[in-house]
Amino acid sequence: VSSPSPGLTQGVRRVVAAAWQARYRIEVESELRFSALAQRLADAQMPAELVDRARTASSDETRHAAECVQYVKRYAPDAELPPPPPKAREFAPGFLNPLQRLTYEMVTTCCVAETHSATNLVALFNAGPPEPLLSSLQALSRDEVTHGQLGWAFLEVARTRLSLDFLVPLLGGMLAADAGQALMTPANPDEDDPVLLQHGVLPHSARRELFTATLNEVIYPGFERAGVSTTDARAWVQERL
Amino acid sequence: MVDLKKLFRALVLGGAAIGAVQCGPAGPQPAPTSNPDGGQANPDGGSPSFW
Repeated sequence: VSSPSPGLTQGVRRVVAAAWQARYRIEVESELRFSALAQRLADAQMPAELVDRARTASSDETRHAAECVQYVKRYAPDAELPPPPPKAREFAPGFLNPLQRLTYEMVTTCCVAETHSATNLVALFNAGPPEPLLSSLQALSRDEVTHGQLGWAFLEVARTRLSLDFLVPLLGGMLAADAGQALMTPANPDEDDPVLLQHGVLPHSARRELFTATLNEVIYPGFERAGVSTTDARAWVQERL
Repeated sequence: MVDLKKLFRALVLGGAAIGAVQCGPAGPQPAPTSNPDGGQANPDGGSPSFW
């Protein structure tokens, strides 16, 4: 990956570099997360197809992390990459039973986070940035769509094995955590500069707009299709965004 | 910027179709182990970061 365009201001370059560094961390942890989930799916006697897809997702994330490193080096040549975490974090509340916890992890990882990643990556690809970024985003978005699909496939199986009602009061908190504090606070001008799109980063306002649209047009309907009410989650998120 | 209807079909309906094919009669189901590689469960829930 060659050096970035010379017209980039220092402030915008910092935003781009921080985004690629954050993505590197996300991908490294996702590799661990999918590997752990594959084992848990197997232990729960979930269909082998889902176990295989989780294993494939883990190896996809290894490749994605390597891809991100190329862009970290491009925008922040002196940046030191953090060491991989020893374990993937678990997000499920401890009061859930083991099958509910697995379901929570699959939902929050795939139906929520990976689904948002897929829509963001498609948006970044559609912005038509220059090569080699365009090809990188095409490959990344293709994989992230399959990771999102895994969650919705799991939910279809899980609804035959347990009641998904336990998710209803937990969705609002899950989605707010997914949004993160940064999305809920106003951006500085560098974070909203349209030139970011040419470097694989969504400007803050576009990211926020797409987050809400993805909830309304993909994620909420997906949960409702699986029989999980989103009424409370919609109100909860609307109050905060 | 993004055709979300198309993505709904690809992600949700595509995923559900994969799951539906796998939904045979459920056999005996041992309780899954807690995350063997993971950390402590989060008391308030949460979500991984995304792109």
